[in-house]
Amino acid sequence: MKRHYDKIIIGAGLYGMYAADFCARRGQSVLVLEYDRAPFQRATYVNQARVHMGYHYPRSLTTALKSAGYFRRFVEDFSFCIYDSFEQVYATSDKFSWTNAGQFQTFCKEAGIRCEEMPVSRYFADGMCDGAFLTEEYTYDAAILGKYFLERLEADSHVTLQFGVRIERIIKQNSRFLVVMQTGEEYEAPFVLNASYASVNQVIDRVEGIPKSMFAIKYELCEIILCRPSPPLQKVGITVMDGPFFSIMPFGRTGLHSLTAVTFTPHMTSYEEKPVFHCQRGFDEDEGRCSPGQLGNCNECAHRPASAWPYMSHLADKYLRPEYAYTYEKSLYSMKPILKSSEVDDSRPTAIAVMSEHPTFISVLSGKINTVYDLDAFLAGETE
Amino acid sequence: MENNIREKKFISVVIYLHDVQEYLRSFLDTVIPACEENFEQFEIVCVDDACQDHTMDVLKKYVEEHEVKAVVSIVHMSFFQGVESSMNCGRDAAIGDFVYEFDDIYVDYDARIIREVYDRLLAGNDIVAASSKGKMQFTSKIFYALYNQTSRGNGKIGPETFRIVSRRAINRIKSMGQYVPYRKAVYANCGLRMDTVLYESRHLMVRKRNKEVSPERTALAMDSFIYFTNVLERISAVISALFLGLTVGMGIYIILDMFNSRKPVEGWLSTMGFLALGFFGVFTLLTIILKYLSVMLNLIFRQQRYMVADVEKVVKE
Repeated sequence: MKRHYDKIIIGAGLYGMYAADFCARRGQSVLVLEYDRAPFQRATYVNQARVHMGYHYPRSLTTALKSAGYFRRFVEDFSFCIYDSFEQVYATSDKFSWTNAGQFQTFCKEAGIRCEEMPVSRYFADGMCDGAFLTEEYTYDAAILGKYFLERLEADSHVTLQFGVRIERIIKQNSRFLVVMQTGEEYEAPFVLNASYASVNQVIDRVEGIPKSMFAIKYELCEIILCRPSPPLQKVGITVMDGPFFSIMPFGRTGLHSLTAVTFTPHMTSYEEKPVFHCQRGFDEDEGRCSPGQLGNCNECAHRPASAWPYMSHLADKYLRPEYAYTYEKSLYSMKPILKSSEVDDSRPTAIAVMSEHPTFISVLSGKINTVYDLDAFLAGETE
Repeated sequence: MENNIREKKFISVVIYLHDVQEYLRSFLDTVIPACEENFEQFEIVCVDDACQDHTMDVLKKYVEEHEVKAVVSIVHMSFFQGVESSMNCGRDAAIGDFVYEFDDIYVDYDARIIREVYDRLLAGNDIVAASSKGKMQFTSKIFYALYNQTSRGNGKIGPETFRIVSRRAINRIKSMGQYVPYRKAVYANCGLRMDTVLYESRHLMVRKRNKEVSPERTALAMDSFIYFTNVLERISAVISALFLGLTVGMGIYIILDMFNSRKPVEGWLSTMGFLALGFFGVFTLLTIILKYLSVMLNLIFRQQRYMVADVEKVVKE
């Protein structure tokens, strides 16, 4: 028995859940297939939880402008999960930075985003930064957002959510894509959205009947540290730009801060088309839990690397004044795919590739949550 | 070795690399096991001072083959900038509580020395150097003798193979000025406690000198005299005093002549009197200018003096 849907969405991260909601509201029947047992278990949850305003792109003004536009919309649409009552401070490192204080200010002015000069000595040790700026940027709480989407979609009769399921292969048949599950069940739809982030190429690899054009990505196994801030740090988020530095900022509404460092957050890197890591070797291969063909959840994995806490904390301590202290709480791990073309000039945080039309197969890859609206045009254009 | 208690302090190992592909492997074979044995947490910061040979390949291959646990990062200098600038840069990149500085990766010491300098540091010093008891080069001997004679500070310096410095010492020298032209001298003058661990050199052979590095060291030695000693000031003072003395002597001679019955050539008195006065003025002015120059030198000290191309982390797959 083949079940028929208008759209099949692979991956229950923010992009998948947003797309399901978007289509259900238009009266389409949607099936969401998710590997993990719940939504928002990987990159949507395991990241800095930053709602980007564009400050991260001092080398690509167009990306910054686009980010700033989406920022407003995201904050309005999902205000219930936004945390905004803290000072978000961006600083430019005195040494090793690609951008200095003056350039950062000019950039913010051109992008039309808030940037108020602050005394550097208020946050940083002597001589570490050449400029500190109060900016407007918020953080979102993935747990609250995930709960919102789950409740909303579960209540929607157009949407079928399947968690903990395994896709065997996807076959193009005339005007339909047939999705065959490992259990033998089959689903079909004229539209498939591949929103599986780090597994994007792994899913493409399972599709038969379309050219297998993989994304040019490298994979990084990343660690986000959650820490408990001291009282002075509680209402402050700090990001040191623009190079091998760090960020410590509120993690949604959890009361914890996330600590990340450009150099130490990525633990291992794979330059293969599909992720190949030595930690996959000999790990439950019979069960197929994690392999170059199917990524497991790094956050639950027993073979995840040891925390880089000593490195990250020493880096941050070198910069911050001693009163901005924090203690280790726990580490979160996830796989991060990075588009190779976006490294030099920071551009293109989102890539959407239409790999087949009639039937439609679209793959999306984005490292930023507020660019989720990029999907709208693709989802709306394909109603039947 | 298993029951050795490893230190909890975070250690940074900063290594200067400039076309040293022959020595790198044996250096890493000594230092990395020593660090792994003694320290729970450490990082390795390699400063690539525009290496033209395969040094970087050797390094990356080594990290991959030996599955080095510590994070290894490379600071690529934009062009050849010499050991002092490059090591200043590497030290700025380091995040450790204590920082090892390896200016030279030629190993002629036992790995235990690496631990010994650390222990000496914990015993209440802020800078501890390891130094070979072996014979010094003749030119080095002259340099240190002359330097220590004329140095402005109290600290005496000598040949050092590598050293370890505390974060406190690093902060101190930073507050003394941004630019550190010669670290050894700055450490010696920073007012914190210093110590040296002497060791018996295992090899007597003198290592091959790099063509680019040698003239750079010579130039640095010359510069150091200007930066840290008053040897030039003294020389110019002596010359000024000498000529001042001569001029004054000349003046006295002229005055004596005036009262003498012997009449010299017409106009000789006034000409010589003018010359004597003129030169007196010139030498006084020169002394003032020299003072100005030394003040300007101090101002230039504050500028940042290195150019970085890239900071890279050696990735693990």
